Amino acid sequence: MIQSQKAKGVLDYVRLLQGLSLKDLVPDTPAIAEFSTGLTMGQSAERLAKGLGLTRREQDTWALKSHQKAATATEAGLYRGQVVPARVPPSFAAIESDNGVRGDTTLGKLSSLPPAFDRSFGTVTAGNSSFLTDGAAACLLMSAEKAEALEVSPLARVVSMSLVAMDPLEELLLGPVLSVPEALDAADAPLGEVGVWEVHEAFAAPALALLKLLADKAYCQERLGRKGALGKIDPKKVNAWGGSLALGHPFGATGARLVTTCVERMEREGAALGVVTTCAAGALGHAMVLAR
Amino acid sequence: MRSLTLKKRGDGVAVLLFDTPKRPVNVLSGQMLEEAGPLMKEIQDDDEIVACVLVSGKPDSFIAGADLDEVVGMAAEDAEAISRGAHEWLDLVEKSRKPFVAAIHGVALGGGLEVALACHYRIASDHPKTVLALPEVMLGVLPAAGGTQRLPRLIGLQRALPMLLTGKRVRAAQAYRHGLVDALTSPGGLVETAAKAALGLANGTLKPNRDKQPFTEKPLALPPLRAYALGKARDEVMKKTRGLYPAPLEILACVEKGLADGMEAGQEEEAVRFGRLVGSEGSKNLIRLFDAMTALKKAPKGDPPRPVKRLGVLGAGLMGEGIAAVSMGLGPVVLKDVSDEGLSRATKNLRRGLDRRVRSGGLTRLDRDRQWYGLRPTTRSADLAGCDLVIEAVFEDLELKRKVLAEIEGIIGPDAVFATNTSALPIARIAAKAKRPERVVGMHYFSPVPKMPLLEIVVAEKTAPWAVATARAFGVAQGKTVIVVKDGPGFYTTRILGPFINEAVVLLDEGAAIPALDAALLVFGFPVGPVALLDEVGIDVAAHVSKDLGREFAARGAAPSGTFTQLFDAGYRGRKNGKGFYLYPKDRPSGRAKEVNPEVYSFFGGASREAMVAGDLVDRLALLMVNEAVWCLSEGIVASPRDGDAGAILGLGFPPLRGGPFRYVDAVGAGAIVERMGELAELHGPRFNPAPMLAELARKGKRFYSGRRRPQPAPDPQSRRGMSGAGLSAPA
Ligand SMILES: NC(=O)c1ccc[n+]([C@@H]2O[C@H](COP(=O)([O-])OP(=O)(O)OC[C@H]3O[C@@H](n4cnc5c(N)ncnc54)[C@H](O)[C@@H]3O)[C@@H](O)[C@H]2O)c1
Repeated sequence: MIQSQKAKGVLDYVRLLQGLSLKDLVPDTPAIAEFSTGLTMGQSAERLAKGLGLTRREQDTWALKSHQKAATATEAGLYRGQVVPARVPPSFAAIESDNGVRGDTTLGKLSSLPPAFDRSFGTVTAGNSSFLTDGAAACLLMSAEKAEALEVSPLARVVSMSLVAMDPLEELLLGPVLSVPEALDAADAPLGEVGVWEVHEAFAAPALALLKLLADKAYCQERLGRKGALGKIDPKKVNAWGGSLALGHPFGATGARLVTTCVERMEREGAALGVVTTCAAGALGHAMVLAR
Repeated sequence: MRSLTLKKRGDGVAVLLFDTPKRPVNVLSGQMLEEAGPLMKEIQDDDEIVACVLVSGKPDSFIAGADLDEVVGMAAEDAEAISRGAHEWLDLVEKSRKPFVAAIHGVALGGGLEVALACHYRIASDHPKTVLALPEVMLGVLPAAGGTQRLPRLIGLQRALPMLLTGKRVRAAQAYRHGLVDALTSPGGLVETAAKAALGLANGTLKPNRDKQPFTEKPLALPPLRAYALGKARDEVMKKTRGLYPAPLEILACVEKGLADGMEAGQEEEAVRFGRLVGSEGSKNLIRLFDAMTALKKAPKGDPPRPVKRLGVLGAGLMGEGIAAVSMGLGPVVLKDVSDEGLSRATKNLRRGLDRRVRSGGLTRLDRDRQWYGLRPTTRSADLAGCDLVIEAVFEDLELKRKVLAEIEGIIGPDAVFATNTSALPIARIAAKAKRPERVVGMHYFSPVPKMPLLEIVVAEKTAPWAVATARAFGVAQGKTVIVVKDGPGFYTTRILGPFINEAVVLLDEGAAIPALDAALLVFGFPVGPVALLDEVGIDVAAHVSKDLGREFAARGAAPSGTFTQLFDAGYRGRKNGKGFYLYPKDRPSGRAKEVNPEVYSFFGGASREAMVAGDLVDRLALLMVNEAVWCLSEGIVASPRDGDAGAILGLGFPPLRGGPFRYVDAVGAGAIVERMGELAELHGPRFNPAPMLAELARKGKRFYSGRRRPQPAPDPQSRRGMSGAGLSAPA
């Protein structure tokens, strides 16, 4: 729509409109092809799943649990304190919860979906991928001195952070595998002491990959240069209120959502340490260790 | 140690793992075929197995082809037998009711592709390393494991013939489009995906799409049209090879037989004709060349090369751009020129080249970007600071080269190598005033750099071994076949080309017709005739070289033709200024033969030409080149006949099937050559006097190469390769 900036008179606008088609009026979905490789996120997730031998069933089961946990948490009102109702046209009725959560989905339904990125041999489907959704999230971040000066008590403290980049062709979506150990090392926190994990589920595959690879001795030695495996993450501690597969992935807002949920969960579950981690385009990975 | 192992997965799929012991790549051999028999039976008999996946245990390589060590020097009957053995195995694979899936990552060459063709389904990784080809023709043989039969049946005659007749390499994406492979997948999880496909084929849920042949393929099912198409192909082969290379014709015969009389008859044809080709001198020479290229890739003992982390290229002209193009994959390149215009042109071409490779699947976008951002075009010499190797390709001008050397020496570190791409200026003269002459070396590339396989490294008296090792290793990393030669006028390649080209002009002076002269050398096997070559090289450059060399070797009776100077003075430069021996009209349709420039004969005594015997023309040119090569060997310019042969073939196009100047002497016999040269010397002057080394060889009845058929396989497993087509230019 760069042309519209050039339109001056009324006639120019008419001419501009003549060139428009229905397609132009539909809002743009963010282009999610990688700049460097030209592969879409989905294709990269497919490469990842194949490379690690993640089965369709593992991925669907993870997705199923994500929906079930999100539904349970929503019903139990756990999200009430975090969600601000939004009112949008045409009805302007309050939207108080996410509409992508399908608590009633089954493994049967999930396994009937066709693979989305490799029709013949793929395992990544619409069901085990996060969907794009609209949304916004915010959290307030400040230095300790500022909090003292303002006399506000923090919900949690950021102990350490890590931002990494990996090979965009072979390791896209694997960023957390590199950044989590780095953040834990910086916080001097052993993996076993983390009570709450909030892991972005761009797809089921990268979440599964994180658990799998951090427990894999050979991988940790060869790729991460560690003495041995980092350890097993207890899946029950991961995304206990559901993840992006069920709640959706509002671009630009998922990080703040994860932090918010992590802090709430730490409070309720009485955990001293929490970890938030996401993968991002460009084979980036973020991880953050939070303490209460 | 076995080549093949069978592993059963839990799901009914058996994985047949191909992993040739003690070799870097998988090769097909007699022993491996013996292992295959019982395994095939096991697969058929075991009820738990419903399908089979064939996969390689080697990194980035599926199967590299037949075991050359085994094939070369084989008697015809033995070669036939090995072909029949392969047919038998692959027929079993093809007829198996349990489906076979080939899981291909890396090169599938020759016999390797033929194995894949016999499978019921082919999955390839979408990786730049995955390349499928039948390069047998480049070694003067034919695909003898059913390749001439199955390939045209699978992808159609029109797409199969270029692969069969020229060894054309096909990458994954194109292979998929043409139906050569049925599916593409990422390299990770290749086996998993192949197993899924195998199960799908076994239970009928997966049906391969075999409907990818172009519609123009349909009419070729009719025998008269097919015969017409094959006839056309034969004409094309004859035109390109002048009948010198039997392999492509034999391949066509196999294809024709099989399409007319069925698979079995076609395979029988393959076996018999393969046996015949394996023993032929032409094929032996091609395989020897391949061996020499492989051997020349190996680092010699001595000083280790120093790492080149950053390359500098001086001069962004034709050569500088080419050198940058073949170096960008190896690390950052600083490309410097004094002219911003030239720099922009080179930069644009380099970007285009990268994009072209991305389109063809030879380069990932990511690697393109890495290379692109590693390129630093600049007009400031200071940007060359930190380069470990600087290759200069500025104008061919001694004073200029000395000047840039002095300037660069002030910028680069003491351990950096300075290489010059001069075509003929002695390195010692360029380095005469250098602060550190020990790091000055010649790196003589050939144009166009990305296509020409040879790099001639020139060692001056003061050049240090570590500088040579560094330049050599860098050239090998660029993918070049590197010969190391001693400094001297024209080094090796330019020096032996000099008298050859000069004699062409002398012959024109004597009344030879341009087309007749070019045709004679083409029939001998050169890829371009000497007169056409003169136009390509540039008449100015050639005149310069022949004058310089003529002066150096005046004592031996070298007589540079004076016509060169006249042509030069009249503005003749060759193709580059459109004024040469041939006409270069802008609108000449491609494919149309070049026409002689009628005006040029006025320099050679007028348009009436004399008929000359083709054999005389060939002898006068080729023997001067051969003789000069022998001089180079006796003076230590080239280290060995092997280097001399490889250099002449890969740098100058000496007919590959003749094996190079030294092999040629061995084949014809030094005695016969010396005798013929004596006749020529009597008729035309002392420049035909045989080099003393040649005369002595004749006297003693000896040869340049010892009688051994082929060097025994070296104990180092890295040294033996399969039939990879790397770098060998197709004769057809
Ligand atoms: N063209 C061939 O087939 C061929 C083959 C082998 C070797 N060579 C040799 O390679 C060298 C270059 O040949 P070319 O065909 O590429 O010539 P070219 O004319 O295409 O390129 C020469 C480039 O050098 C640049 N240049 C001049 N002075 C410079 C300086 N002081 N610093 C940096 N750049 C400078 C020019 O601007 C020009 O772009 C010559 O020595 C030639 O003999 C050429």
